[in-house]
Amino acid sequence: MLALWPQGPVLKARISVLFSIVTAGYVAIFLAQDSANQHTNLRLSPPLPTPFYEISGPFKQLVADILLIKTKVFLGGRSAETDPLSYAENLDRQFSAISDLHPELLDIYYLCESSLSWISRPSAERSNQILSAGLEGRPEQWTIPFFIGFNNFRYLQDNDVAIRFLSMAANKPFAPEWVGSLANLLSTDGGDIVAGFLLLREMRNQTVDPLLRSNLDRDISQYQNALVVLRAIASYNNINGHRPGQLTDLIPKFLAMLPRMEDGYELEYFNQRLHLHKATGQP
Amino acid sequence: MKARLINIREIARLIFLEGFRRHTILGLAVLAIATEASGFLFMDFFGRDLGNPVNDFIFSIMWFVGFVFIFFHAVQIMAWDVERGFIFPLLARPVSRTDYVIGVFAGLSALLACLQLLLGILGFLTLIWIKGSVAATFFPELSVAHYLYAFFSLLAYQLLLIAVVMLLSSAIRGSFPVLVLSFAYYGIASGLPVVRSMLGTSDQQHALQYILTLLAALFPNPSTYDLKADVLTVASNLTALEIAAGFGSAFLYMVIALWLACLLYGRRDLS
Amino acid sequence: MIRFQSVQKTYPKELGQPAHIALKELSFHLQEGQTLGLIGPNGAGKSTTIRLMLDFIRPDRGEIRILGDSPSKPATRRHIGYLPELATLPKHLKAPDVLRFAGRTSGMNDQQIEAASHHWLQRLNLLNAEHRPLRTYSKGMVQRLSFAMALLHDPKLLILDEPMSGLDPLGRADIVDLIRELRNEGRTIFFCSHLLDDVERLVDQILVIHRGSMLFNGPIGELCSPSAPLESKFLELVRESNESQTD
Repeated sequence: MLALWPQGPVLKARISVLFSIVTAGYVAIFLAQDSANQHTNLRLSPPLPTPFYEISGPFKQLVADILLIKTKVFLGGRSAETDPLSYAENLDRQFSAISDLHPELLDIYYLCESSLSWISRPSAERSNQILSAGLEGRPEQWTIPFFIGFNNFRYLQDNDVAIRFLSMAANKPFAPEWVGSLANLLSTDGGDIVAGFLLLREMRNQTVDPLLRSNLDRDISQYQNALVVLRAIASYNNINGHRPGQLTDLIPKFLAMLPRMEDGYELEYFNQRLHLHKATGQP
Repeated sequence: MKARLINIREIARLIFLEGFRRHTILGLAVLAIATEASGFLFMDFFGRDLGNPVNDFIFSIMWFVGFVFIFFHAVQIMAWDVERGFIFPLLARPVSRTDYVIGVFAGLSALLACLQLLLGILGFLTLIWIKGSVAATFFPELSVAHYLYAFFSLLAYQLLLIAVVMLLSSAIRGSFPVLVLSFAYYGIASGLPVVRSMLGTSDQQHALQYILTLLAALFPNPSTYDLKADVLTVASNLTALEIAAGFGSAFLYMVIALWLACLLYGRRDLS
Repeated sequence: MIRFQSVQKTYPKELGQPAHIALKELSFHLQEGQTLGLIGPNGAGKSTTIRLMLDFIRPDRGEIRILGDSPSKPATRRHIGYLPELATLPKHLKAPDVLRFAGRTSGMNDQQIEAASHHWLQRLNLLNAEHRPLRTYSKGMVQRLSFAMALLHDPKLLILDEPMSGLDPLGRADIVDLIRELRNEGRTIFFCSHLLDDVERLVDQILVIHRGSMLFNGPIGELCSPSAPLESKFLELVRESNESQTD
C-alpha cells in the first residue's frame, strides 16, 4: 500500500498543486463573499438593551463611541431613497443607548437633532427625550436646549415650551445674543414667523447633514415668502392705520401677488394676524 | 522591622525587574501607545466633541492594559509560587510569608503604576495637543485635577484587583484556576450593579436587597472607579470627602484582601 | 543543628488523591560539623523532610528544631543555605539580581554581596555569564547559580536537595569537590541524593527512609563497608522493609 503512494519530487509536486487549489478556492470564495457584502444595503440594527453594555464597566463610554461611529456610518452611507421612517425606530434606540452610556458626548445630540427630529412628530418627541439627557450630561452647552426649543417650535408646534427652552439656552455661557431675542420674538405678533426664519437659518448653519440642509433650505424659502407678506401687512398698517381685512387687500399696491406656498406650507390670516402652517404629516 | 522592609523591598525588586525586562510587558506598552495613536483614525467621526472620544479612548486603553497586566502577567507571577517553584528559594531565606505576599504585591503594583504612568502622561499630552489644535467650542474643558483623580482612581481599582489575585492565589493552587476565578470576580463585580439596578427597586424584597448590598461590598463596582467622564466637564466639583471616600474604600479593601492572603499563605502547606 | 523528634506528616485528601502519610514518627539528630546523607526510593519522604526543615510545610505532630530554634521563625533561616532540587529562577533576571536578593535578605551590605558574588560565581564557573538573562542559562548553570545563592551568606547549615541533579559529569565532579571542601571547612551539611556513590563518598552519617519510615540512622561505617557498598545495603534494607510490610 505504501509503495503505491508517490515519494520524493512527485509527492512534493502533488502537495504543491493541492495547496495551490486550496488557496485559490479560499481566495475565490472570499472575493465572492466580499463583493456580495459590498452590494448589500447598509442597515442600522437595533442596539442591545443598555444593561448588556453597562456590564462593560469602565469601557462603556468606548462602547458608546463605537455605537455612534456605527450610526454615523449608516447615516453617511444610506441611499437618498431610503425612507427615513424605515430606520427611525432603530435610530432612536441607538441614540437612547448611546446617551444612556455616555451622556457627556456632545456629538450624539447634534447627530440626533440632524437625523432624527425631523422624521416625524413621534421622532421629534423621542429626540427631545434624548436631548434631555444632554441637559444633564452637558449642562454648559446652549445648543442642546436650543435644539429642544427648536423641535418644539418647528415639529411639535408648541411655542410655549419652545420659548422656555430658548430662554434656557440664552442663559447658558457662550450663547449668542440672538437666542434670547428669539424667545421674545416668538411671543410677539408675527414673531413666530420671524423667529422661525431665524431659527431655521441658525439650524442650517449648525448642521452638516446634506439631506437636512436641503430640507431646511426649502423651509427657509417658505418662511422668506411669509416674511414678504408680513412686511406688506406692516406697510398697509402704516398707511391705512389699520390691518387689512383679508390678504387679497394687499394686492396690488403692497404686494403684486400672494406668494405660492410649497412643501405643505400654507399662510393663514385669522383675526388680522398672519400665521404660517405646515400641513400635518409633512416632514 | 527594618529587616522586614528590606525583605519586602528585595522581593518587590525581583518582581519589578522580571516584569520590566519581560518582552511581553514592553510589548504591552508599545501596543498601548500604538493603539492610542491609531485611535486618531476614528476621530473624524466626532466633529463636534473631539475631546470626549479621545479621552474615552485614552482611559479605556489604560483600563484594558491594566486588565491584561493583571490577568496575564500578575497571575503568572503568582504561579511562581508552588507551580514553578520559585517561592522555595525565596522562602528559604529569612523571609516570612507575609513579607512574600506584600513584596509580590508591591512589585506588581510598582510595575503597573509605571506602565500606567507612562500611558497617563502620554494620554494627557495628547489631550493638551488636541485641545490646542481645535477651536474652544469643540473642546471647551480639560481639568487637570479631574484627570489626576480619574487616573489614580483607575490605578486604585487595578491595585485592588491585584490584591484580589493575591488572595485567590493564597487560597487556590495553580495559575489557571486563579485566572478563571479572577475573571469570574471581575465579571461579578461588573454585572452586579446591573442586577442591583434591575432588582433593587422592589420594596418587597428586603432580603434580596441586603444580599445584593453585601455582594456589592464584596465585589466593588469597577465603574465607581471610572471617573473619566468628569475630566472634560465643568459641572462636577471635587470635594475632599469624595476623594477620601473613594481612595479610602479601595485602600481598606486592599488591606483586608492582603491581610487575608497573608493569613492563608501563612497557614497553608507549600507543596 | 537539626533535630527531628517523632515527626509525622500526612498530606490531606485531594481531588482524585486519597490522604497519605508521608512521614511516620521520624526522629534523627544532626550535630554541628557533620554531613548527613538522606537516601530513599521515590516517594520515601525525602522532599517532605527537607520541606519540614524549611517550614514550607508543617508537621502533624512531633518536634523539629533547626539551629536550636523552630523552623517557623524566619530568622532561623538566616544561617541556612538551601539548594532546591529543581532550581527555577525567573527567566528575565540576571545572576547579580538573585544574588543581591540572597545577600540583602541575609543582612549583608553591598560590598559584602559584591565580594561574595564574585567569589562564588568564579568558583562555580559562572563569571562569564554574570550579565546574561537566566533564560539563556543551561539547567546545570541554573543549578550552580542556586548553589551560589545558597552559599553567598556563609551559612552554618547547608540543606542540599539533589545537588547533583541536572549536572553533566564534569559539573557533578566539581560539585562533589565543592561539597567535600565545605565539609572540610567544618560546615554542617544535610543532603539527599539518588546518586548513592556520591553519598557514600561524602557523608559521615546516613539516614535511610522508605514509605515515610526510618530504616537506618547512624554513621555510614555502620551500614556499609568496602565489601558491602551503600547501594547493595540500601537495596537490602528496602527489600526487607517491603517483605515485612507484606507479611
